[in-house]
Amino acid sequence: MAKTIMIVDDSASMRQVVGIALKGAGYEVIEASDGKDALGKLNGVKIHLIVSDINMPVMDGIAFVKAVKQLDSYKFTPIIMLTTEMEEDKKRAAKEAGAKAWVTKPFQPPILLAAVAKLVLP
Amino acid sequence: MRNGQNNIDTKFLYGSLPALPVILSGIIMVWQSGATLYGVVISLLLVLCGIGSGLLLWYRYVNQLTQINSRWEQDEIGKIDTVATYTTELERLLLTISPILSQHVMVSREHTEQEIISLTSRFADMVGELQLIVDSADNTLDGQHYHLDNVITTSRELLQPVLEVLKQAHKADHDVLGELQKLSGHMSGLNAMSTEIRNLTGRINRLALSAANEASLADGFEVIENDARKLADDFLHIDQRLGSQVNDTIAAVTAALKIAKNAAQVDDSTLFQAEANIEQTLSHLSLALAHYRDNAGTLRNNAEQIRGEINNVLVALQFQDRVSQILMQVENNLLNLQKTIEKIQEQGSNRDGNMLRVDEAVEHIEENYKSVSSRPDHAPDSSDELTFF
Repeated sequence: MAKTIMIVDDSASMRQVVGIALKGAGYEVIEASDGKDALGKLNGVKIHLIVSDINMPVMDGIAFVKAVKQLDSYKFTPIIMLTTEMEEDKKRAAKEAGAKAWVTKPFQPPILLAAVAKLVLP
Repeated sequence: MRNGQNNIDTKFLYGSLPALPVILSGIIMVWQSGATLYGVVISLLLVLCGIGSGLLLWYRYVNQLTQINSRWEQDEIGKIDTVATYTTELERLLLTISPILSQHVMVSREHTEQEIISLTSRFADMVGELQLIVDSADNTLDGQHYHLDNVITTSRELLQPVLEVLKQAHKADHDVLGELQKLSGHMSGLNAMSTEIRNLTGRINRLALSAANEASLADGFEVIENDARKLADDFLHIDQRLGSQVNDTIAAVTAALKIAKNAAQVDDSTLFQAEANIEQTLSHLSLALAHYRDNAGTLRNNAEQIRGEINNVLVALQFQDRVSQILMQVENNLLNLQKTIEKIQEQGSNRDGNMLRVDEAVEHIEENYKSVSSRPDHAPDSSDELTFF
């Protein structure tokens, strides 16, 4: 059975690009446009991994990671930050919030897939 | 203002200089006339003339200066009005154009995003179909490999016993041929025996003839002569039958031997040909399979190249996100500019150029663009692109 990955990004085109890469590797994909939208879509659904942007309206990536780690059902769900940000402060904040990996945009699909394959829940 | 007063005093001093010789002349005349009334009056007149001419010159200068100042003031007021009008119009232009530019940027960004989304969606469909084709081809090739390998192996396994059976049949044919050759040898022996029997019959006949002669000379041997003759006849009869049988058998065995030899020769040739054909066929099948494997390798390489191209396109498509962010910055900067001008405009006549804080605004804009545009196009090595916590 295919594993499900949630993509959280305010850019629809980025969600599609990430989706193409993940679907091509056999994963199923759920999309959300920001942190709040993503929290609404979790709702008991089995998610094996989350790929999230940082700079988003309504609820940004760091706040979203913190919120996910507060949820009993998802606190062990691995989260990869996929962002254009390169600042060490933000990277540190993501790590402290509970993210497991950091991938910079524009990303090479094999790099993202390598991170996903390593972290995705069994 | 103080500079202007000094300027006027200096001009008055220089303008009054022509009156100085007249005053000096009056003073000299008073001194020369010995202080007579006439001399004093003339001298005073000369002094007064000098002072009068100095005053006249001073008023002329003042009048000219007043006119110049008036013209300068008019010019300055005109310039200030022009600058004020220009500033007001510039503000109006910026306040009018800024929202229009923002709107254009926003619409452009949205259109670009929509088109990229549409393009990405179609690309995703193409990638999906391509993936299905490549996977299908891979599966088919794997299946065909397995199938062809099995066919060749099974064919070998099936044909090997057939060849063994053919070889055994061939050996049996040769055995039969050997037995026939032996039989033919026996037939020769029988033929020789038949000849000996024929000779023996002749000897018996000759014996019977001698016995008949003896019987004619001595009575009583007639019985022996009859028996001998009868025996000779029987031998002759048997010999004839045996000879006939032997001849028929020899003819039959010779014919069978000939057929068996021909059959053995045909079998030899057929078996050799069959073996050669089987080996050739299996060799062709192996060669075809090797070609098939080569083609499969080429197909897999092509599939890998296609995957690489897809990855490159996926990277290229991400730049739309970068463009979108830059356009967003443009929108925000235009909005901030508009707000700043509106805020300054509220100050009315108290507006001051320093309120614009141009350097600060430019620095802020440059920082924003730098943060977006300085991000890497492609991470040169994966350690920069991926970090595990």
